[in-house]
Amino acid sequence: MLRTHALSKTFGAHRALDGLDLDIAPGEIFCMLGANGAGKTTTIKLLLGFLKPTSGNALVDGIDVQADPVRARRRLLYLPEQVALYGELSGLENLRYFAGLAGVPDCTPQRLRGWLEQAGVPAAAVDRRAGGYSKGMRQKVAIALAIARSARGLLLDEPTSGLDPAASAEFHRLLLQQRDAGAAVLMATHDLFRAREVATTIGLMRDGRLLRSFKARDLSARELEQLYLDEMSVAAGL
Amino acid sequence: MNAAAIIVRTELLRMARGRWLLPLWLAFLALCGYAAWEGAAWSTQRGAALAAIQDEEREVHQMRRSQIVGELTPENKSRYGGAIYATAMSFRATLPQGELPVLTAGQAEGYPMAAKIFPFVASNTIFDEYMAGMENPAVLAAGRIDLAFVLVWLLPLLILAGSFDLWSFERERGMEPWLLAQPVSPLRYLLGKAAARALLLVAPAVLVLVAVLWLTAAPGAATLLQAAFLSALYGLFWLGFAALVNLFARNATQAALGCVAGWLALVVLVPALALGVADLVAPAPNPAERTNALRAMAMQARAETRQQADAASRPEGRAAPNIPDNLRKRAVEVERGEQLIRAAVQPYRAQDERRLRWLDLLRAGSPAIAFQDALERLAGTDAARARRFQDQAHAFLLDVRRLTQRYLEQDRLLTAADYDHGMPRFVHREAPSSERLGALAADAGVIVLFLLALLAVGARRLRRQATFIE
Repeated sequence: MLRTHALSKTFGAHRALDGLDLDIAPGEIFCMLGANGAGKTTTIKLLLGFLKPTSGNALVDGIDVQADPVRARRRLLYLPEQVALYGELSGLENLRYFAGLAGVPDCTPQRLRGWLEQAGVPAAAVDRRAGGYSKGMRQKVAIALAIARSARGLLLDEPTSGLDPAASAEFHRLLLQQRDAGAAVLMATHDLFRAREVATTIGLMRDGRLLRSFKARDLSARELEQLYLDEMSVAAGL
Repeated sequence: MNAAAIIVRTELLRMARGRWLLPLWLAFLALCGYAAWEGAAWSTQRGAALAAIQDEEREVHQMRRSQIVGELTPENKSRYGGAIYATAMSFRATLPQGELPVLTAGQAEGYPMAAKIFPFVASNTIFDEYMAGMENPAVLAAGRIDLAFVLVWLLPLLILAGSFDLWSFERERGMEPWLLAQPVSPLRYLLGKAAARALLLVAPAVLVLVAVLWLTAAPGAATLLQAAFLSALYGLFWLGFAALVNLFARNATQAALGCVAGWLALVVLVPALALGVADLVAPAPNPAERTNALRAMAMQARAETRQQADAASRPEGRAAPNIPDNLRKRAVEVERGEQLIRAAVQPYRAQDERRLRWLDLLRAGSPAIAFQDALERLAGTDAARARRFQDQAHAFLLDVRRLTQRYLEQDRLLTAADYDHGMPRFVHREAPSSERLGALAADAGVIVLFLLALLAVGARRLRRQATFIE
């Protein structure tokens, strides 16, 4: 569903991504771990078509992102670290807007409320202006959008950074629901504990390269942490 | 509903909920109302002044007729007053107001609206009596707030205030990646957002203009449509400008500064610069120099005619004509004076024509100049119409002189019947409508060219970057 082939991106002399090969199947959650600047966000931006690759290509459901970014995005839902909604509109109006842009049919108030409810947005907040929403609440609206769109690919860029533990747990519960519904998920995160809990596969990235990938269930939390720290200390030259 | 319609609907909702729209609209409405009221008051005063000048002509004619009736008896011949001679004819030529005088009240004050014409007047002085006198210093300092000022200067500010953060709002708040990750192209976002602003800013401004013009001037449908079309075009240009600035600006502050800088450049700086270029390349003739030159010509003509008259006085014993010789001498003097004046005026006129050609060319320097020009043409206060009136007034003076010459040659006196039936009358002839339409189309063309240039730069920017955020 989400594939990259020898994907590279350089910014001037800096190689941000170096020959990345990925293949994330439906129902799989691939967590990218790595320090800042490892190439995680660059990978996501290339899959969204925000950046032009220096070489290689990115495919979403077989569609070359560079050739037809709009069609590729129809199959994707992107969740950035900060989901920004229009503060003048209510949660329901925001969802109607974004679902409408994605071509979701029958965006009736009942269906919109249903999706928001599934994503855990309290009924009392649905018609409140989104300007007063917490970060967790905004993430839930985005998840509601994923549900509404039945997105086949999710690209998550540190989605739980800054969320309190309860909101983070809730978010991951919703994420697993999406996975079970058949979504292919690529998540960039620093949260080793959560990554091991939800991921099918974990990839360690450094200096734009995927150093290694392994099944999440093959390592304990402690082993994962040690592996991560070892790789990062090499990166830092320690 | 397709994506573009969804963007437009949501933007309309957001703008309607924004707190800035209502105060902005109230301010614009108040300014339009005030400008229209000023324009209507000015137009009424101007209309009254023109009517008074036409009344003056009628009164003079009636007075002359009564004088003739009193003087024209054979026994009174020795006591003829001036009214009986053709040289006493006096006329007024007036430039009627255009179809939309309320649009540009200020501009019209620069041109004479009437001329006083009688056979012996020097052609360069026929407008002197009706040129605007000294104004109140407050009016001179502040200028008149007319509708053209509101439209040319303030309409862009209204549109820029409502669209300066067309996209930079999203960029500044970090919404850009989230929005662009939706299956909608950046171009469609921009067009949808611009369309919403066109509906909430440009369209109501045009409707307000149409309503105000309808209420204050009741022009014909064609003129009203032309005014609406040109205003919409000008408004769309500024909307396009705001959209273009948003393709480059990194945040709302930069976008606001870009918009203000563009407004200052195109509305304030370029017109001033265009005038400066015209002054440099084709300066206006020095009015004092021209007046002195023409005065010298008139004096020279008088001196020449006196010498000729002294040399050839009337032979002894010839019967005295009805019209005294001194009037014939004066007619010769005036004719000679006119020949000299025509020759003297020629270089100044050529200089004027050259300047006008340059000014015509320079209106392509900014949509603001082209739009101002179009509004003046719609108002009937444009320089071309004023010059046409002046040419027609001069032609009428020549007609009056020819008529007078016939009376002098035939030694014929004026009669009451002449005043009853035979007096010529000045009627201003407007330019053919095709000429006016051509000029308006040229102005619209300038605005369209600027709009196309914006679109070309915007398209290039979008093509070079797959998204706004690379």
